Amino acid sequence: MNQKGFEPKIIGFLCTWCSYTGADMAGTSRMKYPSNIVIVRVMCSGRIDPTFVLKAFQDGADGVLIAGCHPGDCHYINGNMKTMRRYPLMVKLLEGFGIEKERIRLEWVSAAEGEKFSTVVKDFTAKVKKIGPLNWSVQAGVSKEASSPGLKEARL
Amino acid sequence: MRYSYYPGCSLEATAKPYDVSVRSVCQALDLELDEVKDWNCCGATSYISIRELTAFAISSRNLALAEKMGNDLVTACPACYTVLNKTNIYMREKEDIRKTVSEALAVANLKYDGTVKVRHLLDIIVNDIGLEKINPKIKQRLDGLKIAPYYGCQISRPHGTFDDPEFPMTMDNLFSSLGAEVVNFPLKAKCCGGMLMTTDPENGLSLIKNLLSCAQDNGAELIVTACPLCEINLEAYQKKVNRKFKTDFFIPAIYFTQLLGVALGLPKEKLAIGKELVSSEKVLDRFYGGKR
Amino acid sequence: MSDLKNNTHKIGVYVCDCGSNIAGMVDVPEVVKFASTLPNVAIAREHKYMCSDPGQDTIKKDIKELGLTRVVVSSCSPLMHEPTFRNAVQDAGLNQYLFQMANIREQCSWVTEDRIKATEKAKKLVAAAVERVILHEPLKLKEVAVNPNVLVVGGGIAGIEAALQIANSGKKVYLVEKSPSIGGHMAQLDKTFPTLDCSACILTPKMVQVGRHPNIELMSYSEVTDVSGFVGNFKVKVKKKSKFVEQEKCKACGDCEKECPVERDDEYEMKMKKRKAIYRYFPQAVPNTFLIDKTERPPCKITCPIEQDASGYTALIAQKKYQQAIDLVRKKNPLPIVCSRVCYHPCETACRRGDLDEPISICHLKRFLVDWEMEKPEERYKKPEIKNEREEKVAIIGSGPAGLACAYDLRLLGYQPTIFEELDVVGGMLHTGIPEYRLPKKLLKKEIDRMKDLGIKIKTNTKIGKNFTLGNLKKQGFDAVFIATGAHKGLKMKIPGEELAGVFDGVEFLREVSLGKKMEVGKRVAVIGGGNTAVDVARTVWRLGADEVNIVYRRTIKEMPAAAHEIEETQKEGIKITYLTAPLEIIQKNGKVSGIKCIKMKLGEPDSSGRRRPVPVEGSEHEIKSDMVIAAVSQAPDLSFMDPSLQLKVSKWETLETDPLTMVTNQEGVFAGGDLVTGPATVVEALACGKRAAISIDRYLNNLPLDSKPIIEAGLGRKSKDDIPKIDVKEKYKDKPRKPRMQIPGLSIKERAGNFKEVELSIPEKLALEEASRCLQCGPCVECFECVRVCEAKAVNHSLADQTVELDVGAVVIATGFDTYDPVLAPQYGYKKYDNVLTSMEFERLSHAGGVTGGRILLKNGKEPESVAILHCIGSRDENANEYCSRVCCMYSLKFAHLVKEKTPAKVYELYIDMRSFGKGYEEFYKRLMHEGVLFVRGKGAEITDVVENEEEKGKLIVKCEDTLLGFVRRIPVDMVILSTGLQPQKDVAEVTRLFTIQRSRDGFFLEKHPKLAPVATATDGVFLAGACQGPKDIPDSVAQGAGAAANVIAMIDKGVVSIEPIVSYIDPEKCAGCKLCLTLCPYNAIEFNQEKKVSQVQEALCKGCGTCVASCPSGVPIQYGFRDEQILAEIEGALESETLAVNK
Repeated sequence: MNQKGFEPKIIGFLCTWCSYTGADMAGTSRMKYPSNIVIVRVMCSGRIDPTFVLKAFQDGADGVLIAGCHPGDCHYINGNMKTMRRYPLMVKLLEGFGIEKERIRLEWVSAAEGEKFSTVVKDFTAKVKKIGPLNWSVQAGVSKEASSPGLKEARL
Repeated sequence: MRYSYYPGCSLEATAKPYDVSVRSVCQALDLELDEVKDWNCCGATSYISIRELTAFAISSRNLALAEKMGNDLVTACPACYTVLNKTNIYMREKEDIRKTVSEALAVANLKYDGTVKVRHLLDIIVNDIGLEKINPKIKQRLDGLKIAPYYGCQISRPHGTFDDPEFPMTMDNLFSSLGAEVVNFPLKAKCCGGMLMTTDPENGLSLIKNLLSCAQDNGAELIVTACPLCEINLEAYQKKVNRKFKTDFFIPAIYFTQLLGVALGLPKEKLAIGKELVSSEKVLDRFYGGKR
Repeated sequence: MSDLKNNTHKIGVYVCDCGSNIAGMVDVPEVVKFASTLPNVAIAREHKYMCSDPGQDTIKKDIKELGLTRVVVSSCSPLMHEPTFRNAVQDAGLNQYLFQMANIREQCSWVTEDRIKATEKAKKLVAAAVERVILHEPLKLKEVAVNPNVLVVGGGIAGIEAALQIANSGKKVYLVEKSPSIGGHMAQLDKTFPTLDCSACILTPKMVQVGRHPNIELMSYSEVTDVSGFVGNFKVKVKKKSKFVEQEKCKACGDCEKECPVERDDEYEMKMKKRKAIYRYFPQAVPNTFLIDKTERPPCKITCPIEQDASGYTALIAQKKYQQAIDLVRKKNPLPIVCSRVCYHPCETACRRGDLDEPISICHLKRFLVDWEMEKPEERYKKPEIKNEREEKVAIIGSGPAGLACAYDLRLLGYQPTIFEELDVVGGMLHTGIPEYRLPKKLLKKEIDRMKDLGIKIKTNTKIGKNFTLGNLKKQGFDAVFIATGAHKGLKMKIPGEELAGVFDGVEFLREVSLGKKMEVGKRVAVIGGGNTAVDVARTVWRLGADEVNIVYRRTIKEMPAAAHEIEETQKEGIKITYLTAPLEIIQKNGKVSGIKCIKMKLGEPDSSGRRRPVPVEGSEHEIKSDMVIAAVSQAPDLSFMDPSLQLKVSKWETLETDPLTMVTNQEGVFAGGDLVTGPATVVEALACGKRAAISIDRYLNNLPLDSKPIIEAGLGRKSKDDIPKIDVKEKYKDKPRKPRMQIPGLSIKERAGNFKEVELSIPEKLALEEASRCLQCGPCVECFECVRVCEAKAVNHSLADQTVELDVGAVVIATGFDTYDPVLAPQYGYKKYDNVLTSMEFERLSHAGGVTGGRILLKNGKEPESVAILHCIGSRDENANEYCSRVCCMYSLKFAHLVKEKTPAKVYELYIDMRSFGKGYEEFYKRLMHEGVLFVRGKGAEITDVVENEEEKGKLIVKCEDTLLGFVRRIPVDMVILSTGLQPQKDVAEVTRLFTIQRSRDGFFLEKHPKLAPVATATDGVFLAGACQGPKDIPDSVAQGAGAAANVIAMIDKGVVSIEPIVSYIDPEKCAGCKLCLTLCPYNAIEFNQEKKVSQVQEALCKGCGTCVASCPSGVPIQYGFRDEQILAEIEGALESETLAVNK
C-alpha cells in the first residue's frame, strides 16, 4: 500500500562509539538523507532493550533502525554480538504483535561509514514508505496505559 | 546448466562463425542456451557515445526480456557484455536513469527490476563449468599449437568482473590446460583499433600492426580472440598492414569457441572453420588429419 | 524516579545557530518558539554560537537568575561539545548531569535538504531532549588514580619521539617493537627531503638515547597480545619472542654470522641482499644484538624420537665440515653406525623438501659421515670425555639399543653402568633380529667395543631370573636398575597346523641364522605378516637359497608396517608379496607342510590404529602351495624372567607398564624401556627410551623429583604433527630449482644372491655434497650449533623460550606506522616482471651507502642507467588502490631525482599528477630540482612495457603516459623505473584496532578523536595516536605528533586522576531474582553473585557502562545511570509525540 505524501516516522537506536559517530560523520561530510529518522543514542547496541522498540512503535513509529559496531569491533568487547543474538527474537516478537519484519532493521555501521549510514537510512525510509503507516496503537487497540506494564514482559 | 543467450548483431552477420561455434561448443559441454526472443541492439559503440540515455533504454529492453526468463544472461560479444553490464549497473544505482528508462519500458508494457546477471561466455566456461570438468570431454589435445590469446579492451574492463583488467589469464589457462602452448603476448589486453579503422585508419593500422608483430615475434601461429571486432580488425586488415609497413603477416585469428571446439573434436563445419579471411588451414589441419 | 517527573521543572532550552551551519537550514526562531511551548520549559533562547563564552554565560546567568533545574542545548553533536556545556552547567552550581544535548547540526541541518523538514526534525530532537532531561538525576563523576607507567607501541620515529619525551618527564615507558630493532622505516631511508641530511645520522642518536634511557624499557621483537582495563589502569600482555641470543651477553662481534651456513632474504635490505639465519637487523640496530631466525623449526629434527640434529649435520656436510658434522651426530646418538643403516628415518617422511620434490636422504647422509669417520677412526673418532666420575652403580638388563643407550648416557654422566645380557652376543635385536646384509655384525661390534672402551661393563650369558634376580641386584650394590629385555617372543598365528614340522617362528628363525646356525630352507617358502620382521625373514630365506619366497599379508601395501624402501628392495629381489590374503590353516601331507589354506580379504572400517580392518571375502578360500611356512605376525616381550615377589605392573598387552616419559616403573629405583615397554618398535624409539631412562635415573640418584619436564627439554618428549610449524612449502620455495634425491649405490640383485654382503654401499663425497645442498634449510636455523661453538661470549642459547610479560600502564601511545603499497597488484607497471622496475623503498636501499651496491645507482646488469623515470602516485590517488594522497611521495620522488642526478649523468623524468610540495622548504626544493634539469611530465604513468615500436626503444623500458600539458600520449624509453609507492595501513591494523578498542577511518588508518582539534587522541580515553598509523605523514609531522601524544599523556598522568563517567549499572538486591543471566552476559565479569543474599551485584569499579545487563534482565531490575529505561523511553516519546506535547501546554 504505497500512499502518496505519507512520511514515515523512524526511530534509530545507535551505539555511541561506531554508529552514532558514523552518523555524525555523514553530517560533517554533508551527506544528505531523509529527515524522517530521529536518532536516540545509547552507549552500546547491547543496551537496546526490546522495550525501546515496542515503545517506539507504540508511540507511532513506522520503522525502527538499530545500528552498532561491526562484529568484532565492539567497544565493549562483544555487546553487538548480544544484539545480534537478541535481534531475531525481537523480530519474532514484533511479528507476534502483527508488525511486519520489514519495519525493523539491524545494521553494522562503523565510525568511518558515514556514507553507508546515509544510504542505509535512504533505503530503509523508502522501504518503510512502501509498506505504509503502521498506527499500531490504533490497530492493535493498545492504549499506552494498557500496554506500558506489558512492555517489561516483552523483554528477552 | 541453463542460461539465457544474447547473440548480438555481430554474431548474426560478420561474426557468424562465432555464433555457430558458440552454439556447437555449448551443446558439447551440455550448456543449454535459450536465445532471448525478439532481442534488439545492445546499444553499443556509436549509440551509447552519442545518445546515452536512449542507449540505456534500448539495452534495458533486452534486460527486461531476459529478466522474464529467469536465468543469467550470457553473451559472447564483449561490446554487448560491457554495455549490458553498464546499463545494468546504472539501472540499479542511478535513480534518475532508472526512472526515465522505466517509463520508456512501461510504454512497451515492460519493466526491469535489475535482477539479471550479465555474464560473458568465457566466464561461464572457465568458472561455472571449470577446466577439470572440461578436460574429460576433450577428444583432441592441442599439444604443440602455439597460440596468442587476445582479449581486447572490453572483456575485463572496466570492472574486471571475472579476470584481471590489465593482465587477463582465463583464455591462457583454458588453452594451456588443453595442451596448447601460450606464447608471451604482453599486448593481449591492448586496443585493436576498434572503430578507428573507419574514422582514423592511420592510427588504426599501426595499432593492428603492433598486435600482429607482437604475436608473430613471440612465435604464435594463431591468434585466439573473444571479440568480433578484434577478430575482424586482426585478420581483415593484414594485407593493408603489409602494404603500409612492408611486412608479410599471414597469421590467422579465430574465436576461442572455435579452437575449443577443435579440442572437443567437433567437425570443422560445426565450428564454421574455413570461413576466415586468413586461412587457418595450415595451422588447424593437423587436428583434422584425414578427416572431413 | 517517577516523583521526579511529577515535580514541576524549570528547563532552559538553548538553540544554537552555529553561524549559518544550523540557522542556514533550520528555522531557529521557529524551533525556539516551539521549545517555549513545551511543558516545564521556563525559557528558550536562540544564540549565534552557544559554545562561545557569551553563549555559555547566558546559560549560567539563567541558572542563577531564573533558578533553572534542567538545561537542554540543541546545537552540534554531544561528542563535540557535551563536556563544554556540562562544565558551564556545573560552574553555575547545577549538577552537570541535569543537562541534555540535542544534535541538530551533524544529524539535522547538515544532512537535510529541505528547510521545513529540517526545522520539523529539529523540533522533534528538542522535544526528545526536553522529555529526557526531566528524568535526569544528579550524578557524581568517578575519579580513579592514574598509573604513571606508559606503553608505547611501535618503535618508528614517532614512537621513539613519544617515548623519549615521556621518559624525560620522569615516567616509566615500555616501548614495544615488533621487529628486532627500533628505527622503523626511517632507518631504511638514505637521505631525507628537503634538507638532504642523511636519515641515519639524525635518527641513530635518538635510537641510542632510547636504548640507554633509564626510564625506557625497550622490548624489541615483541608484540602486544592482550589489553584489558581502561583509562588510567590498563593491563597489557606482551609476548617477547625468543631471540635465542642472551642480549646482555652479546657483544655484536658477528663471529656467529660468519659461521652460519643458512642464507635468507634480508627484509631490512628489501630482499636485495642476503642475511644469515643468525643475524643483526642492521648495523646500527638498537638493541645492537644478534638473533636467530627459528620461525619454522626443521621438522626432520622435531620428528626424530631422539631429536637427532638432522638439518644441522646436513648443513655442515654441505660446507664440508665433516668433523663437526659427525661430532654433532654423536652428541645425541650413541649408535650412529647402526642408525645410519637401519633407522626407519621419520625425519625423511617429515622433510619439507618432500612437498617440493623428494625428501633429503638424511639417513644416508649420516651413513656418509660414519663411513668417513671409519676411514681414519684414530683421528676422526672423538672419544667422549667423562667429566666427573661417580661411584653409583646402575644395572642394565638387556643389551639391545635401549639398554646400550641408557648405559652410554649414564656413563657420560659419570655413573658405573653394568649391562647383563642373556646371550653370548651383545646387541639384542640389533644382533639377532637385523640380518647381516643390512647391519654387518662387525660394525655393531665396533660400536659396542667403543662402549666398553668408555668403561661400560657388559656381562654376557647372564639371564635375569636364572643367574640372578632383580631382588639380589640391590644387595650387589646397584643403586638403580633399568630393564630393557626387549620383545623376542614370536606370536602364534593361532591357526590349525602351526605345530607341524616346517612351520617356523620369524624372530626365532632370524635369531638362529644370526647366531650362525645352519638353517635348511624349503623350495617354496611362505612368510606370513607384513612387518619388518616378515621382510627380513623373506630376504634372509631368499639368500639361503629358496626358489620361491612369498610374503602373505592381509592388508594392502599401503598398510604394510615394514619400511617402504625395504619393501621395494624385497620386490627387486624377486620376492612375491600376496596382498589381502590371510591364512586359515596349514595343510600337511604326511606330517610335512604342503601348503596354506588362505582366504581373500577386503578392507573394511578403520580400526583403532587408523588402518582399515581387513574382512574375509565369502567363499574365496584357496590354497597357496609351500613346503615351509614362517610366521612373522608380531612379537611380544618374554616376561617369564619376572620374579613375582617384585610385582612389576604389566599392561594388558603383556608389556611392562611405566610412565611414558620418565620410564619409571611401579617399583622404586626400577626403570624400564624399549620393546619390553613399547611393544615391538624401532631402534631409534628404543634409543629414546634408554636416553629418557638415563635422565630419570640421574635425577633419581640425585634425589631430584622424577618429572617429565627435563625429558621434554632434552627433546625426548613424544611429538605429534602439531609440533611442526605449518608452512606452504610449494608457495614459499616456488623459485627453488627442482632436483631428485641421490641414488644410493648398492649391490646388484645378482651380487646379493646366496650371500649376506651388505646391500647398500658407501656414498661418494660428491654425491653427499650434492644431496646435502638440496636441503631447503627451512628452519631457517638448521641448529648446527656452529654459532654456539664460535661465540666467545657464550651468548648463543638455542633453548631460550618465548616469554609473556604483563604490564600495568595508565596510558597507551600507538605508533605502529604504515606499510607500503605492493605494486604487484598493478601488473601494468611490470614490477617483478622487469628487472629494473624498483619500488621507492628498494631505491632507498639501492642509493644507501650501506646497501647492496654500496650506494651506487646501478641497473641489474651492473651498468649505470642513462635515463630514469620516477612514477608518482603508484597506489595513491587511485580508485583501484587507495583513494587518498600519500603526502610524502612527491617530495621523496624529488629527492630520488636529485640523488640520481648527483650520482649519475642520467636523464631523469618525473611523471606526476599534481606536484604537492607543501611544507617548509618543500616548494623551494621543487624549484631547485627544476633548475637541476629534471624533466617534469604532468601525467600519471599508465604502463611500463618492453614491447618496442622503433629502434631507439630497443632494449629499454617504455613508459607510456598522457602528457596532459602537451595534450598527447607519450612513450618515454628509459633504463630504470622507480615506482613511488604510496603509504597504507599496516597489515595487522585490524587486530590492533580490536586490541585497543579504537576505530579506523575510511582509508583504514586509525581514527583520531577529532580531525582538527584532537588529532592524537582517540575515542577510547587513555589511548593516543602518533605518526603514520593515523594517516600518511612525513618525518617532521610524525615527530610533531609523537611529541603531541607525549604531551597529552604527561598531562593526563601529572593530573594524577582521571574522572570516569558514572554511567554504571546498579542492581537492586530487593528486586533481583538471582537468575545469574547477567553474569554470563557482562563482558567484563563486573557482576558477581552474592551467595548469602542469592542476588547478583555490580562491582562499580569494573563496570564500563555498556548497559547490556540492563537490556537483558528478564525482570528488568538493573538500571544504568544516565541511561535509565525511563529516560530513554521518555526520549522516544518526545521524539514521536512532539506535536501533541506542545499543544498540551
